[in-house]
Parts: sequence; C-alpha cells; structure tokens
Amino acid sequence: MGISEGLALVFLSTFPRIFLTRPAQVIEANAGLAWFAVIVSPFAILLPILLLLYVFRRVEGDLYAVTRELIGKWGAWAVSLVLIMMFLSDAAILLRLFAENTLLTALPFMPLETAIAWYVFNAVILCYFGIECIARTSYFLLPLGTAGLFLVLVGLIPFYDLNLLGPWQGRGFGQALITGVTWSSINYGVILLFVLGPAFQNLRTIKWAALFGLGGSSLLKALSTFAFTIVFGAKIALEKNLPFYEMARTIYINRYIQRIDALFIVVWVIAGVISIAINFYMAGYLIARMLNLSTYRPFIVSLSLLVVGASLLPGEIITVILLDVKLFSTLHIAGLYGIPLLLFGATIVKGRRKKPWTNG
Amino acid sequence: MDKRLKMIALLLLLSLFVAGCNGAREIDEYAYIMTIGFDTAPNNQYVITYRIATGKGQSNRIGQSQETNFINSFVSPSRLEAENRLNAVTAQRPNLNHLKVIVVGEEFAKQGIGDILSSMLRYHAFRDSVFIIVARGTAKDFMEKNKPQTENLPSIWLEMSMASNDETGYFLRSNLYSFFMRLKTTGGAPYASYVALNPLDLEPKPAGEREAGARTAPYYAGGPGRSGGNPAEILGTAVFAGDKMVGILSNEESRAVSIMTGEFRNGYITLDDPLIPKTRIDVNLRHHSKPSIKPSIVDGIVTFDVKVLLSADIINIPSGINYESLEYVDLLEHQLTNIITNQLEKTLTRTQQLGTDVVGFGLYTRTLFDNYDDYDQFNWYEVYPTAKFNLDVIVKIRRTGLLHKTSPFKRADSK
Repeated sequence: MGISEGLALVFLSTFPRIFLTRPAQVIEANAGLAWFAVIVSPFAILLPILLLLYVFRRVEGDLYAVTRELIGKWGAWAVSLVLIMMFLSDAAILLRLFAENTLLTALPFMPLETAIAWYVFNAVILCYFGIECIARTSYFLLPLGTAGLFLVLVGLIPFYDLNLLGPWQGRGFGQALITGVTWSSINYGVILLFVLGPAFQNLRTIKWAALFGLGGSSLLKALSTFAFTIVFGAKIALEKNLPFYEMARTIYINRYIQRIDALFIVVWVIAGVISIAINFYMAGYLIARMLNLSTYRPFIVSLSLLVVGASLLPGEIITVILLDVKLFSTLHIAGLYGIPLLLFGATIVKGRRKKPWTNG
Repeated sequence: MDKRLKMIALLLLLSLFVAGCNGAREIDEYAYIMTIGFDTAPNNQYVITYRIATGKGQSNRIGQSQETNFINSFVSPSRLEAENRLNAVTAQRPNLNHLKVIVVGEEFAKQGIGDILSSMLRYHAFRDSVFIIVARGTAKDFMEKNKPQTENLPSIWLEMSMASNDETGYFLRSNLYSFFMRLKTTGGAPYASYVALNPLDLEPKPAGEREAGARTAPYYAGGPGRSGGNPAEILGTAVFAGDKMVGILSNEESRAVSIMTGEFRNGYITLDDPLIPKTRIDVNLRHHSKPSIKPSIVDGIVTFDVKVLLSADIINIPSGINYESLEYVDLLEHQLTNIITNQLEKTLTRTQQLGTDVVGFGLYTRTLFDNYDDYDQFNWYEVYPTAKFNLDVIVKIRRTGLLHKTSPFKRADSK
C-alpha cells in the first residue's frame, strides 16, 4: 500500500469521534479555546511516531516482528495483547455509540440489537476483504465525506458569531495543553501503520501517511470544533450529545434547503462502519501474528461476536460515554505512549543498526 | 465462485435493504403535526392545540373545499401526555418531523416557557429551525381563526411570513435555535414574534405617539386599521427576561432592534418633508453594513459605542422639492438620522426598563474578559439596565430611483 491508502486508514481511524460526544466534552473543558486543544493533540502524537520511526529504521518487520526481535516472544505477546485490547475496546465503544446514535437520530423504533447487527455485518464484510479493500474504500470515500462536512460548515455560515468564541483564552492555555495531551489518545489509530509495517512500501510511506492522515483529520476536527463553538457557544455546546448532527440539523438556508441532516447521517454511518472494520482487522491481524497463522479470517466472526457482547454490556448510554473517556485516558494513552517508549528503550539498549526494510 | 460474482451477488443482496422504510410505515399512517399551541389551564395543566395536516387537498386549487388540516386541543399536564391523547383520537401515529411553528399564548408566555421548550431539545423531531411566536389572547384562538387566503396550510403562511420580515423589520424572527441560544448563553434576551387577530374594523389602535419628524405611529399586532382578509397578523416582538415574557416591542421598536443586530435588510419609512412638514416623503431604508458595537468599561459602567450605517433610496417626494440635489440632500439625511437615532435611543431605554437585552449586547461583553470562568461569574442581567450607549447613526441617501431631479406639479395654488 502507498501513502494514499495509509493516510485514508489513519484518517478514518482517528476521525469518527468528531461525530460523537467528544467535541462537546472538549468544549466543556476548554470553552472558547477547545479548537486549540484539538490542534495540540496531533503534536503530542508526534513523539510516539518519531520513536517508532527511529526503532523501525533499525529493526525490520511489522510491529510484532520488531517487538519480538527487541524484547522476545513473551514481550511481543504482551505488547500485542495490549494493542488487541485497544482495538477491540475501541470497536466495542464505537459500535455501541454509533448504533445508539442511529436510533436517536434516524430510526427511533429500530431495536438496538438490530442496529448493532447491521453495523457489525457491514464491518465484517469489509474486514473479510482485507486491509487493502478497507484502505481503498476509505480513500475513495474520503473526498466525498470531506466534501459533505465542508457543506455543513458552509451551510452554517449565517449562524456563525465570533463573539461566541470569547473570552478568547477559554479556560486558559494550560488547560488546553493538558486536554490536548491527555486526549491525544483518540488518535492512537496512527499506530496501525507500524502494526502493518511491511504492508506499506517503505518507512517514508509510513511517515508521510502518518503526517497527512493525522494532519488532515486533526485539521478537520479542529475546524469542526471551532465551527461548533461559534454556532452554539460553550454554554449550549457542552450539553449536546451529537455536536455534528446538531450542526447539520441547524442549517436553514430557505424553505427548500433545510433539514439536510438525513444526508449527513449517511456520512457518519459510513465513517463508523469503516472505523469498526479497521479495528476488527487490526485485532485479527495481531492474533494471527501471535499464533503464527497465515490468515486472520477465521477470527473475524468470533471477534465480532466478542465485540458485540462487550458493546452491549453497559446498561445505558451515559456509562458508554464515560467509559469511552476512561478507557482512552488510561489504556489507550498508556499503549500509545508506553509501547513506543518501550521499543525505543530496547533499541537503545541493544544498540542495533540494520538496513531498514522495504517491500519494494 | 469468482470473486467478482460474489461481490455482485453481495451488492444485489444489499440493495434489498437500502430502499428505506425501515418501520414499514406509509406516509398516510402518520398524523403530521404542523403547529403546536400552548395555553394555560387550571390545576397546573396546559391547553395544548395541534394543527395536523390531512395530506389531502395540497394540490387543489385554492378555494376548493377539501380540508387540508384540522385542529385538536387537549387539556393535559404535559405535551407528551397530550400527544398520547392525540394518538387516541387520530387513527394515525402523531409525527413531529414536519413541525414548523410553536405558538404560545400570551398568558402562558408570561408564566415562563422554559419548562415546555426544554423537552424539545432532547428529541430529534424538534429541529432548531422551528419558529416560536407569541399570540395575543390564546394560542388556541389564534390557531383556529388563522385562515390564510393564499396558502393551503396556515403553518406555511406562518413560515412564509417569517421569511418576509426581511421586507420590513417590523417583527423579529425567532426559532428554537435563537431562543435557546439567548436563554442559555445570557448574551442576550430571548424574544419571539408577536401575533394577534385583527378585529378588521378599519380602526387604527396605535401603540404610542409617532416620532418627531416621522409620519407613522407604532403598532402592535392587531392594532393597524384594516378590513378584509385573514385576521391573523405578525407585528412587533414579545420579549423575555429568562424564560418569562415581560413585554412587547412595537413594530418600530422591533425594527430598531433589527437595525442594531444587523438583521435589518430593508423597509419603507414615511417622514415629514423637512421644508414643508405638512407633506411627506417616502424612502426605502436599507441595510448598509453590520453595525459596529464596541464595549468598554468607563468609570465602572459598561459602555457600548454603537455605530450604525444605513442607506436609503428616495421613493416619493410629493412636495416636488429637488431633494436629489446636493443642496437639499443633507436636509433629508439629517431628518432620517434624527428619526432613527431617536427610535434606537427610545428602544434601548425601553429594553433597559424591561431588563431584557434584546439586541444581544451581552455577547459583546465577552471581549472584556480573558477567562471563561470570570465571564461565567458576570451577571449580565443585573448590569444591562445600568449600561450606557453612545449611538452614532449615519443615514446616507444612495439612490433616487428612476428620477434624478424632481420637478413640482403645477397646481391651482402654485405660484
């Protein structure tokens, strides 16, 4: 795969939370400076990316192979298990939230289980066809989805009021930096480039895919958060469950151009399905690598059933939203920063220097 | 099987499920609520009135007999309970997806409408674009007697009328979005368009004295002398302190507010001829640029420097004086500037007396603070009545229509 596929995968795995409650939570923490906190996040992620690039320049293979080389089989298993938990828990939370929100916004009479089944069914099909299929589908849909988002932002121009951004320091730059760093874990998806390693052309491909994918996704997220703030203001914005949906349904150009939220729902359903499929694939891929199997496919259905079971565990949506924050401020942040630090430390200790890999 | 064939088979299978209609319900299985009215009722209850589209007669020529809608009213402790009862009356399931207008009776509005509106924030069918209006008397009465002559549905009449406020500025348009924004951000007071039934007796009932130099008196809805047509009319604005209605702004006060918010587009104004006051001049006042509002704190008092720039087109000069010429145009501009300045000043004083920042000056005070928590502590409701305003109004005559030089008629008494 090339830069296009890589950036599409990173974009789709780091972007979907803009459609969920995250923007409202960032605004609650930072008021008018929420957009800045979102901008800070990708810069924080540069550290693990740089560390992993350093490691991968010296040891060849995918993340499992590199870890095994540096810290042994059991170390590689432990790292893989952490990553599997990160991908699967993310899948379970996304699955539940997107299914719940489908009921909330479009199909109020559909049973939750049916909505979940539909998401999983589509994600499993995508996953079955493999990562290249997911990546190219993502790359194909990326401009369409992005155009849809811009359409919403343009349609909201009559509602923009820059005064709502004030007081301009929000709850302070320090607070924005803290939020930006602690919540940077929602961008953990960038690590998939290293998990897949040689599936990409070379390290340069990974580097640019990470920068473009993460940069594009973060820029759009910051822009959306900025727009959300100047449309609703901090006081109302923090109440909203689905900020982007609320923005789409606010659009009223005239009697004929209004109520366009139904079109927008399609965009976030697609983003949700692809993101869940990426998580399934990554978990399946890592299990296959741990067990030294040639294919991940036998695991897809059982993994999806596991995720469905986990997603249905919380009794109500508030618990899921809280769990999302809790998981990403513990497990995902530990995995995102801990694993690269561990591998970097091991590389330094072993002092290895090899010609970097390439698959041509 | 070949991978491509599998793919095609899969897509064909999926196409069966993308045809929509997940609930397997036809559109005639729903009772589409177009308007909801709220009034007070004894024992802590509400009278809730629904106007429901029948789905018939929409394509008929106007005046044909098929009923396009019907009205049901319920006494209920809540809106949702009223919808349960509506479900018991209509064979169809009540559906709010096409709701256009919420009508609130004046008495109800004075008691506070936050209670009923807050439930609407949670439910996706209540879009932010749903208009809010306050009706003099009861909402039920207004809805029953509102019989538009050019639209099949009264809700369409209301929606189109709301869009037409650009033509006059004589009322302020409000919807769920703007109402809640103002209610919760405390950056400005909520408001709603004011509607009433005109007695159609050709008897004008002005809301006050006309401005010096102006030809027309201010009115509330129901006040202008007229006869014929639909008795329902929209004129003026109901203003709120928090969620309680505390007063009404006349059509001229509403226009003054819309000039200061920058929402004013254009509207006619009739004034005394500066040189022959017994005759009049008609001009079309136009939005020129968004007003500049700059807050500051002077001697501990929040002060706003408000700069308003309007343009005007001459429509009619019955006196025949050549006001297009540079020699006279200043006189006309001066007269217009005085009228507008007085209207803005009086409107601001009135809103300060009512304790309602209808213009939304509170939003501009955000720039006086660096930190959101400090701003959050600031009680704008207390400060607004003591705020000071420095008005700088400029009205420029920009165009003179298809005539560039007026010459007087020859009359019997002409010299």
